[in-house]
Amino acid sequence: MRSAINLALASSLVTAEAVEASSYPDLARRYQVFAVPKTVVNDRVAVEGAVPDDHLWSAIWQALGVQPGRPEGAGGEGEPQA
Amino acid sequence: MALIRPEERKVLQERLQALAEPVDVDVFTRDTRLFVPGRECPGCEETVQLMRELAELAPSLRVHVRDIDREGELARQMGVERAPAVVIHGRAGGRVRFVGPPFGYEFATLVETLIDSSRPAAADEAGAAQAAGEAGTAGDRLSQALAYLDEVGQPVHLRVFFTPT
Repeated sequence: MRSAINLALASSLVTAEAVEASSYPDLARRYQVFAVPKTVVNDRVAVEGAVPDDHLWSAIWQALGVQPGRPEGAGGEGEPQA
Repeated sequence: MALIRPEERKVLQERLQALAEPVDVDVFTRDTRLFVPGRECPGCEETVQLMRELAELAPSLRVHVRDIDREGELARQMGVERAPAVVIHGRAGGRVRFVGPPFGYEFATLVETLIDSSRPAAADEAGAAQAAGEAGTAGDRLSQALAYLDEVGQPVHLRVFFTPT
């Protein structure tokens, strides 16, 4: 939840909604929540368990149907720092 | 009876002193005296009470209790479809919401989000990068991803399911 909230705090494009699953069985069914936490991006891509930021970004790019020019969390650390 | 125990009150009061600027919080509730299926409000009263108790501990927390049915237009504007819902403003800009009673571990997350929302962005990001261990790389990766998201320009909605533990 913290990762999702931090993204919402960092970007005006991001909304983070924490949903208490047992209060809304219909939502839990619709989103096939069998274990928590479960993150659903744009009602399209689901990630189960606590998500490291890199996984969350991958899910976001997948949900948006885009591919960032730079590999996310692929081990490459980009250009050297001055 | 108070939901926040006296010993917790003290700890929370101290923690909430970290609030830098006032933060507005909308709490959407629903009148359930007349039961209508599909229009329940699980844990509504407790959620309102909890948020009011929290506001008593910190004058800069401004809690507004709303009715999701009578203030339907406002609820729609804020993307609130279910009650109870807690919408956090300040730096969160209403883009962080807790749907359902925010009890258990999630309550701590709520409190920390209120504090983050009261602070300007820069201090917080430096803190996040530090928390991630490597101030350089984690912060860089985050700003790269955020810059790319800006380029894409599409809204991202993250729905995170939890249960109180």
